[in-house]
Amino acid sequence: MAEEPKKTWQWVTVDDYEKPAVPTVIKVKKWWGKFIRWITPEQEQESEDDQSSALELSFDDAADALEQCFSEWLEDDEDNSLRWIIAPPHSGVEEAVKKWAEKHSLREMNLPDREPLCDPGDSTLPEFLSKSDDNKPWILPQLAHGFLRQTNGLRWVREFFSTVLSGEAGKGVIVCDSWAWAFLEKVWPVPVSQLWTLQGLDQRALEELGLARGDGRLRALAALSRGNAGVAAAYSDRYQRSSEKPFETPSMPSEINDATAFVCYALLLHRGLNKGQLVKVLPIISGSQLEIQLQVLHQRGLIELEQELWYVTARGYPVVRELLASRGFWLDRF
Amino acid sequence: METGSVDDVTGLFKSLDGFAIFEIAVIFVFALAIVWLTQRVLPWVASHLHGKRRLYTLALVPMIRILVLVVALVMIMPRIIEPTLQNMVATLGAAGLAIGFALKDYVSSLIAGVVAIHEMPYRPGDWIEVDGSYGEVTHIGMRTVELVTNDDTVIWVPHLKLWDNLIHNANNGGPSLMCIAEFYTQPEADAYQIRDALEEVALTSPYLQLGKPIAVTAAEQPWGTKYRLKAYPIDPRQQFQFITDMTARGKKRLMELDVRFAKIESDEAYELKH
Repeated sequence: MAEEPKKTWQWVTVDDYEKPAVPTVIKVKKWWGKFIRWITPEQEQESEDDQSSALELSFDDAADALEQCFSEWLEDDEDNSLRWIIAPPHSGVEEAVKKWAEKHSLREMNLPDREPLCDPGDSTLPEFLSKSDDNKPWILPQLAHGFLRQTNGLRWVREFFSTVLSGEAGKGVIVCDSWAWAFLEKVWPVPVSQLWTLQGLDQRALEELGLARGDGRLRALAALSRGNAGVAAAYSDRYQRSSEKPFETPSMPSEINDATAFVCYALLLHRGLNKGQLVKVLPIISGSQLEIQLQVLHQRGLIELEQELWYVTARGYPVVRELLASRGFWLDRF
Repeated sequence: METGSVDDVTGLFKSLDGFAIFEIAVIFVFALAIVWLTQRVLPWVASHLHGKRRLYTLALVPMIRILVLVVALVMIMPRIIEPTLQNMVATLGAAGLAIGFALKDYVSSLIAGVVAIHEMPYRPGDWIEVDGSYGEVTHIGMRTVELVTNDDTVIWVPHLKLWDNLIHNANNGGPSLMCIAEFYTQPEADAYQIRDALEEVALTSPYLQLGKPIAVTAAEQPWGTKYRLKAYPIDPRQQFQFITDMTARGKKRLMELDVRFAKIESDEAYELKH
């Protein structure tokens, strides 16, 4: 019997997730590029063309694929188990799950306000689900927004794990950023089953989505993006303008210190933070130093401000991830 | 008889012509150049790396140096001495006598340096304590090991210390170095509440190496209870900042919990009161 052709959008368990292979040539080129950056003076700031916005991807097909994957579980009234969806930033998973949840009118679980979350005097935590709600399945759109890595900031998330894993909250879907999940596995070290994610995009999938052409370009884009749809889309726009140029990633500031890495890690871990929250999460760094780091990273195109929250950009994500890996940070598994 | 002895000694050595001297000079200069280059290039490369990769790169420096010097010696010796058993025994005997009398400590340090490279009680990048001095090993020379303390003071410790001193190595060639923040509270405080609070303090520190365990121990003292919060930073070089972070946030958290800290009065204050 012939093997079923691989689909572009495919939901798999986290253990079955496959990263696109990185060919040795690309690894060598990367090392060479790093070496050149060390020995040559600071590169000029990127041109306006390089700041172009990413190609917009539609995640309707990914939502349809999720429908096929979860329909049986959703319709089974006897099955009160949970489904956890873990994905790296920019992968498009949140958009796909949101579309799917809207279609089924799932109840949205209440997230706590981050501001009073760290207040030691505030012992009340919001209820997970409104009392008036019936027993319909629920969804938590982003668990990473339910905590702050601060001495009082983990209370809600602990309460959450305790409640949902005991089955008290019933049937639900939890979406969580991969960086937050890597941390939360340490906060609540109970093995969880039914961890799902979107399969990494390989060369064939990238070609099908029109993100690159030609074997070499596809291989390079797959390796650079690590199969992440949003990152691949952010680089594809540039490819279409100048197909011969290698993918130019934003460069890290020449003076990197612990503060730079901490800011990048905190933004990934919490899936975006505002300045006040950053001060709470990183009290060891002075306010002015934090401001400087944010400005420098922003100038480099590594982070961006969106609705008052700072995020790591899609184009900056591979660079930031590499920085954190080289400095021994606890990484996500994607 | 005397003439014969002089002939025996001079017979040990080859007659060095101009070409042989040139060869020896080339080997010597070449060996020194390789050593010089590795001592500059590898630390520079290591300064751009972190964790294990940094430590392994730094550890290559003394190893390459000893290897290059041994190879150079092996290449130079046959150019000076006829390599017969008799000649080698005579040469080594004479060298041993000279070393025994005049350069005992110096040579002992050199040999300890070779042993240090083999046994690795310390490697570049390690944090060690010798004779009450604590610092990071930045360079392992032929005779001494160079430490840089937290106050940026350089200390040269002769390898000789290896023979009869205790060497305390905090990270032993790896990136894991346990840090301890200490807290002193009055004995009435709830120990389990304090333990939970301190564990949370370590878990939420940006310096924490998440893959390593966190532990809190308590011990009763005459003046109160001493708590020790133990955890590992991501990089051993962050140890002082990590302890500062845990201490500052730990104190703040304990104050939020209305925990009262133990205070020991000075002898003068006690005498004034009583």
